[in-house]
Amino acid sequence: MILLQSPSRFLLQILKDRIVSGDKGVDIDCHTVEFDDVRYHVQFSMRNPKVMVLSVALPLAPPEAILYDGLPLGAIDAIKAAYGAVVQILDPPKDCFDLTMKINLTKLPTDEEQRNVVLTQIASVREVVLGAPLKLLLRHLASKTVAPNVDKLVALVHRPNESFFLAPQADKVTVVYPMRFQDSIDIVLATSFLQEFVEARRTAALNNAPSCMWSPVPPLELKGVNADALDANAGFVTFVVFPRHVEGRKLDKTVWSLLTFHAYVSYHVKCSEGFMHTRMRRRVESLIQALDRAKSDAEKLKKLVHGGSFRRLSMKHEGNSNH
Amino acid sequence: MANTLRLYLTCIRNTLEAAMCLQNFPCQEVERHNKPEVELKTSPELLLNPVLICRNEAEKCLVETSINSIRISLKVKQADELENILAKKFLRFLSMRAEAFQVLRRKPVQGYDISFLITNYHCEDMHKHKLIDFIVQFMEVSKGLVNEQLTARVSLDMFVVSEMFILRASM
Amino acid sequence: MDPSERPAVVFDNGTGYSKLGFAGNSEPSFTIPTVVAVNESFLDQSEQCSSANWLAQYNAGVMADLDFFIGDEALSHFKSSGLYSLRSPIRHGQVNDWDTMERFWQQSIFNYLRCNPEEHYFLLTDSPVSTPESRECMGEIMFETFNVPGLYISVQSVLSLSAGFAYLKSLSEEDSEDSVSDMTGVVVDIGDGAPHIVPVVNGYVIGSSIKSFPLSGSDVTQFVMQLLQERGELLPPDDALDIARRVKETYCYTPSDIVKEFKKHDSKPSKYIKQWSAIKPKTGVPYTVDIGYERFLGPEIFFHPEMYSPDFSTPLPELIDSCVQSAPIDTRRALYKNIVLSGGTTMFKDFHKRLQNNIKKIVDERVAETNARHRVEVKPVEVNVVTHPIQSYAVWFGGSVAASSHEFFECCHTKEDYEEHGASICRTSTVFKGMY
Repeated sequence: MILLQSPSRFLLQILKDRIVSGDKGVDIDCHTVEFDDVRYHVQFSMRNPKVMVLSVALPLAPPEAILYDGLPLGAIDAIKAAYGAVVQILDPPKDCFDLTMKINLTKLPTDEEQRNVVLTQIASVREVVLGAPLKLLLRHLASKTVAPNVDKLVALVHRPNESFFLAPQADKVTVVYPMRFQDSIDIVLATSFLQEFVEARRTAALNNAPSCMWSPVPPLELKGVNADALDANAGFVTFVVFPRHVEGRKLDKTVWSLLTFHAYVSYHVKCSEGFMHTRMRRRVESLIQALDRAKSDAEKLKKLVHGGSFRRLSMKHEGNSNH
Repeated sequence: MANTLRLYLTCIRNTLEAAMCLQNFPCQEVERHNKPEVELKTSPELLLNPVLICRNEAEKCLVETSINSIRISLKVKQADELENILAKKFLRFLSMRAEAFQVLRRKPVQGYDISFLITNYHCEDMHKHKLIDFIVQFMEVSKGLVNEQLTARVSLDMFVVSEMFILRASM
Repeated sequence: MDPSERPAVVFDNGTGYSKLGFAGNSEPSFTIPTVVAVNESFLDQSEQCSSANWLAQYNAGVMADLDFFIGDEALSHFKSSGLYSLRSPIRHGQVNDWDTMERFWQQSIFNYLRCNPEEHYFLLTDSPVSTPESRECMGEIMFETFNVPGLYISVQSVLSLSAGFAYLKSLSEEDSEDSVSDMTGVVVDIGDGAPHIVPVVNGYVIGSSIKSFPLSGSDVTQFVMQLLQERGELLPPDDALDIARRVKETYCYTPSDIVKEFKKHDSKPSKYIKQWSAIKPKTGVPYTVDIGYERFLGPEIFFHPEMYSPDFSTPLPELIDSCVQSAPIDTRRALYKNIVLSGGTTMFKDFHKRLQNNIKKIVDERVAETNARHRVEVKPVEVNVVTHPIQSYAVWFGGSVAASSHEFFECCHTKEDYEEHGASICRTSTVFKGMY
């Protein structure tokens, strides 16, 4: 998996299982946590086996990101537009959650393909809710206008207590991410990763893509922003999005990509650490083999006869345990 | 660059060949004990002068010999942050597997990145020149691994991954 | 938010299936087979030709390192495309391929659970007979690659015991049995990998009394498949194992006496013989398979292992009995009273009844002998095999319960400890040390 997927696998699985299981219902009450502190709480009760109560908690918003009623701008409208009659928003939301919805599974379309589309949409509730303000701004970009009553610089929450910034204009939107990582190795790996990003963009074949820049200091667009929000140990990444990137079906994809950019970088940093381990293990194997060759033949014979040899920490340990 | 590396390694090899003349020597202080004297450093008559081979200010190799053991400590230098971190990771990885390597010391000597401890028992088990080959090969491998394999591979991986991201936005 | 305020992630990686989820839930979020399908065409190339290798991958638009699948997706990709090969990182309950295990964990965390490993404490489970080195490796991967803030590697048997205890407690509020209140019992863990019989006293595992049984769930599947094929049933060769497994899960049961079962089957075939119908994947032709004696002969191998394997002839009840007899004498009564089953293979209908009867017979015989020889009246020993509906994921459930308590976060090995002392902190497990 290279790109992060929008629908939550867990929600999709629960929804599909419930459709398949027919009318017999079991009480379900479980919670799950996703990256960046998005929490879901799923409830099914025996009395209404076809109604799912889904509560969503969003990441804690930093002071510069403004929420309306605890939700990002335009979230309620986006939910109504995306789900229609299938979903009913409950007010007030459950304790410790920001949004509670009642999903009526009997109102789903009967055609299987259409139904799967709606289920996938429901599982992508994160994109719908958190991405609502972003979608609003980018839709205006597609129509080459500026949204009314929008400040020069908009801060949107994407991680707990962290936001990214948008500077919307009529012909383009500039997106700036201050990149922060906790672990020192992650910081170094992420910095080199982001520099590769810029290199990749320079390749001729990708002229259609949004332009991308990296700088260790806050770029000009962020003038006047609170210093706390500008503390970034892996530099600042700037994307410039043009109308051609958000027309038609590309809008959703761009929204999700921009929303989860930091998570994407962090995921790949961890993947590369994993692969480094693989390569290191392989190299250690070959070194140990080299050492083995250094053993004299007499010693090897002695070991063979007595059958004793201590354990080696090797990659492929066949038949290690004799049960 | 490669030239100085060759010279450096040849110098180390020659030093090791001269220094690696180990014999069994039971401990003088405690009866029935047999300890690597280079670690204890209690009796000066059992120790030889330590030899320090420097390639440049940051890269050096310390060879300390005694009658029954020899300790080799290496300090490696890397070009930039990324290589530095990868080298540290690799060395920590190796230290954890010191048991499998037998001649590796779990903790490097103060001021160095990695240390080997070779005792007379190892010399009895293994051919001396093969052991020296192993040490020199180890040094080449670590340098090569960090420089070419890990760093280059990591950069390439990230390049491809970035492309994918940007491609998705443009399609 | 502090990681200790978020629910911990509980991973129970078994030989056959892995159960993943968050602490505090009553069942795992995902139960997937522990397999990884890897794209072999670009992998394993020697590093000499790395740049040519890279160009080839780049042109093919694929990134071999990230082109792999786990779980059910792995199985389906393996069947549908020849590019992938299946690897099982865990054999006989122990990890022997760390690269594959690391990949498995990577996908479970980022693709399935979709959580950020830096924000959660982790609870991993481990076989009671695994080596300290494997725990060290586990710790290394978790701390170095995933940067988890804290890790606890617990022994599967103790978790099964606490699962049983928690479940029974939730059912009976009035009952305050002493036998259930302390963590003493024999855990019979039979899954797909190496089944173990582990005595646990007051929360500590008695390592020297652990017995292992060589036949597991996969052997039952093999046996069922063999019987079906010997009888001449037509099974498509690719799916034979899969069909046998599903037959085992749906139709098998444990008889109380095989001779009687044979008679029952022969006298009323229509009641006992079941049909299995499916469609051949390659040709699309439907077929049916009759399932008769396999229904009860499958689970019977636990009580008569010589039917399946000529090397081993100790039936399971005898093994459990010898395990308890090898435990300290003052714990034996408590152990007999609390024999806990866990693992998917113990879910056969009436398995626990048969086991209880057989063990009770052995124990009663011994008591009678003692009475006769020493002319005393020893109090009869109570044998109790505990069963509950969450047996198949009892270990995961126990982990979820354990990770929800406050003490859990204090017992974990933290990242700071790891940085300070290295991976050796993960070697020890408190249950073996005798400190609680």
